[in-house]
Amino acid sequence: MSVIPCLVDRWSEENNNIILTWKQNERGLEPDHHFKKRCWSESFKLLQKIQGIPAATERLQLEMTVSYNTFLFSLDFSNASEIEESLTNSLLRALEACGSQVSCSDPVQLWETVLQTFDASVFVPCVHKLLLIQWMLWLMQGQLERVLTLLMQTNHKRERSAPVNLQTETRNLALSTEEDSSLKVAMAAKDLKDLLHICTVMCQGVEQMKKEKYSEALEAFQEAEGLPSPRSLLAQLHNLTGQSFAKLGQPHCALHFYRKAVEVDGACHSALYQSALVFRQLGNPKAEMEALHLLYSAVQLQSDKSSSSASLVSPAMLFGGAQMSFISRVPSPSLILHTLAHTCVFNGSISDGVEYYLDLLASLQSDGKDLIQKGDGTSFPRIPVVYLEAGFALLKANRYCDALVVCEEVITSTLDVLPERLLLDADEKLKGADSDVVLENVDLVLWAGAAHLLQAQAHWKLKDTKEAITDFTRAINQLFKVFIKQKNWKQKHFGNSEAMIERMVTVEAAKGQALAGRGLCFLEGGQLKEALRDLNVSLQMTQGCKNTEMWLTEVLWRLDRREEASAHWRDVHRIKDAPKSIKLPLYLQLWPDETAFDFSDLKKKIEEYIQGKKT
Amino acid sequence: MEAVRCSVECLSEFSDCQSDSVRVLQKGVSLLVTRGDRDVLLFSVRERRVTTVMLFEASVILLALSEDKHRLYALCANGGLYCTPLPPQLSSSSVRVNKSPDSMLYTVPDESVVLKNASLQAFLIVEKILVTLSLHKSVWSFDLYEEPGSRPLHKLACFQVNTLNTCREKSVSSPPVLTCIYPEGSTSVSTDLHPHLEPHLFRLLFGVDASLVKSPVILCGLPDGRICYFPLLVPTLAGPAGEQRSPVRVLQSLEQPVIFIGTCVSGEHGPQCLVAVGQRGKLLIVRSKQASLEGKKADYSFNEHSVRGPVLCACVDDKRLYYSSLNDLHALQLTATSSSEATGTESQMQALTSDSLGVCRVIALAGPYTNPTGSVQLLAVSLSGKLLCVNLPQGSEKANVPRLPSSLAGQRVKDLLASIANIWERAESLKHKLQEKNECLKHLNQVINVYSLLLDNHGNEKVCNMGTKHPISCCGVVRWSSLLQRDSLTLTCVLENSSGCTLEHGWTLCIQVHPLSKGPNMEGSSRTYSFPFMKLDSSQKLDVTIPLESTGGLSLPVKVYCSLVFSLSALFSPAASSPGVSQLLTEMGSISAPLSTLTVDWLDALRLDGSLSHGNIRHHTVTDGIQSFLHSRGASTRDSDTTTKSGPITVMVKVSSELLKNKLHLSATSSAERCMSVLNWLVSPEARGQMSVQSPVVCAYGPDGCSVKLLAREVTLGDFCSDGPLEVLEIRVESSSVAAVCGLHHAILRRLQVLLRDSALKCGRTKQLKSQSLFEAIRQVESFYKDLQDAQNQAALGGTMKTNKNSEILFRIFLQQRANPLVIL
Repeated sequence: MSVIPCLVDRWSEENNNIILTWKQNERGLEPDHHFKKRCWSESFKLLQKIQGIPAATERLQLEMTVSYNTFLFSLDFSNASEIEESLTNSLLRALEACGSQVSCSDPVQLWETVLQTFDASVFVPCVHKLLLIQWMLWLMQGQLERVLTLLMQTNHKRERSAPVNLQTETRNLALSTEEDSSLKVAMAAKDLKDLLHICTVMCQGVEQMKKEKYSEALEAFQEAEGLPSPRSLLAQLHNLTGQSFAKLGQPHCALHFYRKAVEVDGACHSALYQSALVFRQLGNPKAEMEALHLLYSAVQLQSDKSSSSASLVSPAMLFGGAQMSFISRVPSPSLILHTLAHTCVFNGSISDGVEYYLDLLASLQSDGKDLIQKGDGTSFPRIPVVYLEAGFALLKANRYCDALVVCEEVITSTLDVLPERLLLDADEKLKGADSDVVLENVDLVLWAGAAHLLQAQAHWKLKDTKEAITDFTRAINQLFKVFIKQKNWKQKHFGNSEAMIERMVTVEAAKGQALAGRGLCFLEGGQLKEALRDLNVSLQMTQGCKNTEMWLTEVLWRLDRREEASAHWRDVHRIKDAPKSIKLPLYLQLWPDETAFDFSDLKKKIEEYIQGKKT
Repeated sequence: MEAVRCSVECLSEFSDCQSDSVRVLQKGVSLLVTRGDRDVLLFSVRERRVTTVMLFEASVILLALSEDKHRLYALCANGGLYCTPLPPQLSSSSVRVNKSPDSMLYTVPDESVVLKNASLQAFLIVEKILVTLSLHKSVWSFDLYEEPGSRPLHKLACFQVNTLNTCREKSVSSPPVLTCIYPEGSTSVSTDLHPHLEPHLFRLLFGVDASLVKSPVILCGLPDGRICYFPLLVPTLAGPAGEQRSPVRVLQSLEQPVIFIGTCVSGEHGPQCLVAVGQRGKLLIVRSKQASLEGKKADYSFNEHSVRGPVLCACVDDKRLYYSSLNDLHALQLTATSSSEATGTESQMQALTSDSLGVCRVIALAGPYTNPTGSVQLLAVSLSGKLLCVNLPQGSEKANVPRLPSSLAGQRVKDLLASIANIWERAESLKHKLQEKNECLKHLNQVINVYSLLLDNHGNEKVCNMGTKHPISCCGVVRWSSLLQRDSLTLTCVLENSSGCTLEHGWTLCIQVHPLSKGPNMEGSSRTYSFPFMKLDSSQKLDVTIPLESTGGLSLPVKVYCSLVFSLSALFSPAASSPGVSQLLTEMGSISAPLSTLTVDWLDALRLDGSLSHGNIRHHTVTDGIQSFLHSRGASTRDSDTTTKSGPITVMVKVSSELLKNKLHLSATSSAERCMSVLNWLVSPEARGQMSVQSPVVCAYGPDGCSVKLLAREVTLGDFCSDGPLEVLEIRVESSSVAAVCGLHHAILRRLQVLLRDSALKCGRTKQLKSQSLFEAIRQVESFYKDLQDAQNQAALGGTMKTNKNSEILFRIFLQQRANPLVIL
């Protein structure tokens, strides 16, 4: 049997050659997928050769090492169950070599036998290498209980004082990770163990987060922070810690950790996004905009880069798909851009907002793949809404002609599909599909009406009163297609869905604005009676709009109804400015500079009148 | 509906194709053809030959080109989606002039699999996105991947649709159809590969969002008939109540597998109709109705028509829909307004009329393409594997065809000849079918004739006697034959067809052998022998020989039933019958008609002297020798018959001579002759007329080898009849074997019974019997009865009496009864 030692030598050399070429390539800059595949296939062939003859103790070390290498290479190319199967096969062969026969294929029992059989033998380092593979596979599948059982079996000698949990077990894990210099491995067992350790702890923390046990999650993350880890993983860890703090109602702590995360790894987009959310929560629009802007530019830069990593085992691989997307969830670039643009316009930085909106519109037309969502639970606003918001932003930025063009798009696209008339019943609750159809129809009317309204406002700004009146009238015609059965639906609480009530409020607000706008136009043109009618109806629709009340006062004054005018004047000054309604969509938001009408003259006159009356 | 003439040019001929996965694609001057096997053929139209054969790992189901037309995607039956660069002479449009006349074989390597998923059903490449459709556990899922991407492909999104439970059809019946439709005016690069639709209808059908973004829409015709769609390049939108929802919607259901989806009828703003064709001929045309009055909502209409199915494949140009039902290729003129709208009546929704192009058996279509000379042509693959180029008639609406210039006449003649050939092929196939049908009917007619004949003679069997001959008859003769030193009893049946008909292929002679006595070893072992025969002409005979012995030995008597069976599946030649018909026939089975029934008894199985082979006698004598040796030593076994001690057993049957004379029509006058002829009748009934028996004693051997003696003599019973002395024929059976005696006795009685039963009515004259002889007879029977009762009583008491003694008594009674029988008158 002189052939066998010779074979062992040859096979060892073959293994070492594979690993050497791999290590050289790993140091190179370009990660090469094909190269990895070649290493895998060569290593796999070697393993097949070794397993072609009966297992024996003198070849066991070699066989186990080659198995370990093959499994590491195969992570990219075969699925976990296949690897697990061949792992079980390797273990059975190892036991066979030692002469013990095990028939059961349950991995937990198998490991128990293996660990007992090889306890305190020369093979322990090799067995522990395969144990790491098993740990990795179970971690990838999210089977933390099985990992715990496995580690407990490994630690069986230790006295346990504290209750058994995964964190202490991993902390106290004693694996022998000495390397045999004659047999090279693709990844040192110690490195793998460290990576597995931190990933397991993080994984546990994420599980706790999903169960909304944030303080327990924090504990796990804090434990993990003490462990050696790669930069990107550390950044994610900080990010997760921040998220836990945010959930626990400590936004400042959260922000601190988000900042740390970004400092450690600039590519940690999730931390940026999360901090933007916190800033919004804290009411700091400037910071929010800045965070979103940073995030947007980072995401754009990153999209050019390929995401494949050169290393054999990456944390992304270990966490599995669902976990990873939970950890590093970032909305799609288009949604980030929309959020950014919306925030800018909403908070008054119009010029930036306009630019972002124009970028967004351009990307909607051209960027194919980026628009396709990955199903991460976020949803994009409806496209006409984006157009209307863009139109609104352009209007506010005094780019009236552009606003007209954008709104025209919405008008033409909705023209064919508008319903003739819609009767809403606040009391009747529609089910499923019916409700969706009605809501969709209300939306269509609302979009068309709002588009006309914005156009009218643009015309008004362009001093084209005639066109403005035409467009206001169109808007009114559209919006009055929606008719609500109950007169008092605002006061009473009806059984309809929240979405429907929200639509109703929005439509009413739009009606009010359109009427008020037309009233103003009439006032400008001196058609006082029409102005009076429109303004009165508008106030019925939307109470508490200060501008409208003022205009009404003006109209009354001009109509020589001075008593009423002065009474109105007093009423107006009694009520405060209505707060910006968050509920309303951006494109219907009222603006402080909406006046465009000089009330000082009126004020003087009314005050004189009141003085006169008093005296 | 006048046939529109078109010229057909056969570009090439391949072998037969599998109809459901033939695809043809045009790319520049080349064609890509797959015929449902592992090859994809690159066919150069200019050189009229296959330039390259691409060999895939499994049979190819679907083909598509990438957007830059440099790569070929192929979905194979093993679930792998392969992406392979096209050979250079194809991807560059430069013409290579006869560099290599041989075809190249290019094996597509394993590495070119981009996606492997056994549930993959269809795919489409659009906007550098690969859209796949797979069916897994009753969920259709649309997956979107980046193209060309890294391997493994980067998945962009996934949408799912549940299958309908009501749909029981197999998904293999027809694969789903994926189509991408762009709104007209889209600025995308790859728009020329996919159909467009005018923006107005597009907006109405697919929503405001997709139309604002000008996103292409993916339409999918599922095998259950639903047409689903989702916009490709629109972010996942919030639902009306702010929730997330699947973007996939159902447009309409055809309720039959969808074969084709496309757009048609060019208008000012692009194609104005969306067309979908179902497998069973349902045609869906979606048109927009313009908003006629101010304020009225614009709408679209779904018009369903039906064309004659099954539709195998379809394609459209800007005016017409071309579809192939196996018999013909049709061109259907479509209009922007539906006929009902134009006339204002709903009743006009009948089937559309289509023009036949006169090309049959087309199973795959591509095109239409405008070739450089300006004519429009379709590329088609026929079922017989011909690659055809169909030049469509241009300006067919013009009534008068201008005279051809003489330069084109040659071409014209060629075209006409080609189309004649095509029509000839079609006519030939129809003729063949017709012939088959006729033959089948003729055959069936004959079978029914034969059957009615058989039923007739079966029904009349009682009336017509043995003498008259049936048109189709079967009679059997029992013979001893010796094979390999072993004698066996065989039955030779002769089927004689004396009718005018010929028994054609498909008839089977069935012979069922059914033992009447059930021995201990043969539990009702009836056996059936079938002899299918190819043809039995009029006045021909068919001899078949079957053994009568079964595994359990010979058990006589046996009944033999002969019948003729016709299996209906023989009506159709195996190639011609469609699966439905043959399945029906296997359920229907066959028809059978009884021919005759025979009984084989001990008399038939007797071997007269001389016909016995030597081996058996010796064997017999040896047995006898041993027996006699044992006897001489006085060591006879307990169970051996009592008869061995007391010599041969004798049983007797007495029949009135006159009766026999009448029945057997005996002409003999002397009593010895009468005896001989009676014995002759018993022993060899088939040899009526010539006498095989020359003495009133017949010595023979039974089937078990024991010697048997049959004796006949005439006695006169003086005191029996009041009319005077009665001549009685006494038939005596003597043998040392009980079984032989019993069997023969039974056989003789049965023969007599048959003889007498056949003509019981004719016997009118009764004899005056003497009361004393009757009294004698009754007393004798009574004494037997008493003995029997005694024996029974003793048996019931048991204990003291041994069973074999009991059986001895019973046997004695039995013998006495048979030794002195009643006279059969």
